[in-house]
Amino acid sequence: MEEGNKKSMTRLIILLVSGMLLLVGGARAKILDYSNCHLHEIMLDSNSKLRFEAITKNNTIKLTTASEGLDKIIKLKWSKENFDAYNTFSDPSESMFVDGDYGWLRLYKGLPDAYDNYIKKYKTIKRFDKYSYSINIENSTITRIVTYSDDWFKKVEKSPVDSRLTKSIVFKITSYADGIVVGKKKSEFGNRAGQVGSEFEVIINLKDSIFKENYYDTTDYQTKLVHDWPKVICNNISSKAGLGSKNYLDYWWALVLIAGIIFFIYTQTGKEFNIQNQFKIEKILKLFTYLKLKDPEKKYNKINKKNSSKKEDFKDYLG
Amino acid sequence: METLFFTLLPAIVVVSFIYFSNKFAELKLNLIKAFLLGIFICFPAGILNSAAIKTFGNDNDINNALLMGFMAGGLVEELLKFTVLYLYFPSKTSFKRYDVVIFALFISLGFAVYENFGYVFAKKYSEISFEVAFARAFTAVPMHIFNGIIMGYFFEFYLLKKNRKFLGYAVLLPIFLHGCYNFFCSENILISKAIILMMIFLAYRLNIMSKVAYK
Repeated sequence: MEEGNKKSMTRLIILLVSGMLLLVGGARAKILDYSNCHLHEIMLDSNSKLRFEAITKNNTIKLTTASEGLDKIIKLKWSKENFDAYNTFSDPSESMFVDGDYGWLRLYKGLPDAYDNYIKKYKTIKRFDKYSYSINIENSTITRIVTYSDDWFKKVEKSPVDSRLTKSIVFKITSYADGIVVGKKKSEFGNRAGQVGSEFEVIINLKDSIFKENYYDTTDYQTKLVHDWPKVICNNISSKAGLGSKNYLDYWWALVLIAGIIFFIYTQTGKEFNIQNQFKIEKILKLFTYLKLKDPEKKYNKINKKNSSKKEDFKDYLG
Repeated sequence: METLFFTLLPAIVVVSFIYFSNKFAELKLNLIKAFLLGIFICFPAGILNSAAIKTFGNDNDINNALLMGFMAGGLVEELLKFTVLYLYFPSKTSFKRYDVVIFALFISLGFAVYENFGYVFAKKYSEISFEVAFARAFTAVPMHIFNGIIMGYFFEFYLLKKNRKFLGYAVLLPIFLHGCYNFFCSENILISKAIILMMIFLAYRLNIMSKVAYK
């Protein structure tokens, strides 16, 4: 093979290898982070629905003590209005906060009717809890973090924003197939008589970024679905150790440091064999010229004052 | 089948290159030895890596990333590769150009291929084994191979010049590069890829130096 062809082949191979390296490797994402998640559908029981209507239409509120049970659940599609109502009445507090004559009051579901008198004027605080999920394939875990709104804690709980602002649950991945990931968190303690444990399950559809959660009661006889949590849909997905989630500039200093160490060792080795720095200044300046940087000749003269004979050669690059 | 192909792809490429090249005809038996030794050192590496992780691992992500990168990955694996190279070559009174480098490359290749099988067919990655094989064929395995080449060149320079500086480079630079690669794998894969590109470039420049050294 001729020398010229050989060089061209080497360059082609280097280009191919570099290209492959840059393109490949995103498939093995270790952590998938889902942020900017919101409820896909709103789950209100019939009481909540009544309250919701009362709030939106008449701007008044009526608390009821009756609980009609889970069979009366109404699922509504996501809308700003529905979400506001959900935030007012949803778990975990199962409560609402009203601004009445007696200041902020925390009113629970099942409150005696007598309390109705206190609620003449009210102001609800919308919680707008933020959901985020993180799937760690390496550790086989799914972490669900709910961040409660600042206002909720500051105004209602009258406490500074602290660790209670977030609540996290870690699920263990139990199956992972066809883009569906299932995670479970088991508890050996039960709340009700006869209950020997509980199970919190999250089902993730990776394709549509939808999270569905179910809560089961386990008794000696059966496992029963007791809480059908609404679906959560996420808009932003990022994958750590994946393609496109980060760029080279994130750790530019580390790259410079590593390149510097390699260059130092390289030059030290070259010194031993009496090899002059083959990284010719001309080549770098040629690159400057190519990138149309200002006054490359001036830069060249400054760097290479002693080597005046090469100045003539340099002019060829400009031509 | 595709998974198996990508698991073996780097080995197939390198072995085909050596087999069809006339330059290395005399080396073939040595290279099989080197490849097998590379596979063999996977076992102590596995034990030492597990012990290191068990002893020094904790809940701190940074600690674990440094441990996996520089101790379990860099120090243990590269030191074992170097030990094989060091124990094999001092007994040789004469060697030709590329003998040391290709031997070191094959130690690394043997190690990388066996390690690759460990990752690709692990139960943990059973659902994504193809993706793992494909990604590793272009990242982790070339990293091992080029680390072997760099180690080989510096060891060759040491044998030629008898300068201990090169012996240090032959051990420390692969440990450093392997450690950095592993560390950034969990943080930013692009940096790891950039490290591989730097390794390729360094190996290319060392090849030019080697030419000068043999003149």
